[in-house]
Amino acid sequence: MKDDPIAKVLDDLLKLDDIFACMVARQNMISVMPSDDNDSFKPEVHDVWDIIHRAMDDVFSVIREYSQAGLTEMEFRLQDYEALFYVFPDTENALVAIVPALANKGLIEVEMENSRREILKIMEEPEKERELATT
Amino acid sequence: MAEEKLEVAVGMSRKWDAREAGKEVARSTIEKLSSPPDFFILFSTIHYEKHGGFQEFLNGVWDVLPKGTHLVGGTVAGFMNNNGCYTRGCTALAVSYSNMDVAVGVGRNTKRDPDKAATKCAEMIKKKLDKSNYINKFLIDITSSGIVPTMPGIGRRKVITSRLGGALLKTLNATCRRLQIGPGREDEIIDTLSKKLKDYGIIGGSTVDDNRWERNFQFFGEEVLTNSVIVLGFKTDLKWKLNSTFGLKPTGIKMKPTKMTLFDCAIQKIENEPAIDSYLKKMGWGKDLLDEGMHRRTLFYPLCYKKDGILCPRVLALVIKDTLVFTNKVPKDDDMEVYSASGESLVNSVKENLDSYEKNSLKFGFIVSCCARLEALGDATFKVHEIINDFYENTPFLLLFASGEDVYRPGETPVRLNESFNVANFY
Repeated sequence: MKDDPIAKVLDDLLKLDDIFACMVARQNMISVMPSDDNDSFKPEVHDVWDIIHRAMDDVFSVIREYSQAGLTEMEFRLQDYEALFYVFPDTENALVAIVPALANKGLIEVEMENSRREILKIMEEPEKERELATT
Repeated sequence: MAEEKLEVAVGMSRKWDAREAGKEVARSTIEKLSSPPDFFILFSTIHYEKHGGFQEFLNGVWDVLPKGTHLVGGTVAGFMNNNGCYTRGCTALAVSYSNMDVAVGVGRNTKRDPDKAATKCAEMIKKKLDKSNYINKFLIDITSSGIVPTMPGIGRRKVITSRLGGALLKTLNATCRRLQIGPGREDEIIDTLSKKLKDYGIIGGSTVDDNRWERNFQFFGEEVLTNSVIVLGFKTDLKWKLNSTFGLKPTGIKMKPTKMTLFDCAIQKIENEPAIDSYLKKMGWGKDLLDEGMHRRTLFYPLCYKKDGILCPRVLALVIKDTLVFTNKVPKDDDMEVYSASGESLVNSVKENLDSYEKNSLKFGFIVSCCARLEALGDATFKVHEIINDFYENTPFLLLFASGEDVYRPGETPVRLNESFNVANFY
């Protein structure tokens, strides 16, 4: 995943203090992780990762059901954390971030949206161009 | 007579490394100009503090920017320009114009002696610009915002209801002045600036971090400063127009502060009752809402008063024991009213503001919006960007999300605002 341009977008997002973990995922599948996989997730999230991961899968069943109907964002709070889901339009995939429950979420949301737009642009690039860009 | 030549450019960088970002923001801005800029306004988010530091950031800028350019700026919660909307990165606006004289000023120790700092700034501007023959006068002020104190055994909490809070309040006035923490005292700065430079239109705002109010920095030439006010003044033949909008509606819930502290920024009593009890009762809120989410909740319910007919919203920053602490001054024995905002009303106020402007001959725009609006709107801020981009099209603009805003029009009352949207357009 090291040369994946989407992983690089996730790397950027993860550098923000209040992003504890982030990924592009769909139900039962994490499609893209940051370049160092979950090694770069902040330590705070490790203890609760399993339960958050399970809860995420349940949210993805809702995303799968309603993304075609225009569902663009979802979030849930679990213990001291919030999971933010930014859905890629008309797909079952979402950009997911785990943030502290008391984070200044407004500011984070702006960079989540910038990342979603950046990833969408990458997804729209023809596969060949993407391969060239990563070599 | 020399031909008049005006060039305005906006640039930015999203690089993480402070020096590289400094170079890129300078290069991407001035490469659009054919002659050196007369001034360079630079804003960045707080992130470069941990990625090389702000001195390195400025060093990077000066690797590219012609020596002697007037540079002012500081840290902000976020920014917008023609490219987009960001809460990480840096941006700049540069102007090169033949019919303009420019001066900069700096005043230090704003939290200890704001009047002295503002006076120093005003003197620097007057000294250079009093000789200028251009008629239209304008000033941009950038001031260090308030800092939430770190309290032993408590940390940086926004709601402190324990006994420690009471003890803390007793010493807070003296501690804030000595350590230069607590309120930014920007009300006093704009009052002094507008008295000393009464013919200048003024727009400004306070530097801040990522809305934690732990630290913030100001940029002045090659220096990175704290607890300072920086001003950029210019006299020119360009015309300016300044407009403020809010998107707030009165709720009818009124309260009169009767006992104040902390440079008049904190209400200890409302109608002679402990402020927090009275506030919660009037709002119809239970004490269970007194948690760390209080600040975010009240972003949609600012407490407002009118200063010579101009609405002045105040955002609740902290609750310490029974006391409500605001970011700026609140009037004692004056009627205040809770106003309400919605995402829709905040977005609509942007359109309402820009609808008051002509597009013809517009040269550039400089906008100061409150970081509380950014926090309240979150990713709906992109709707604001669409409206602004539709208005400016290819005309350069820069919007900063500051921690409180300053506005003054000659002949009117200077105001320190929160939760406002302020546009200065130049023609």
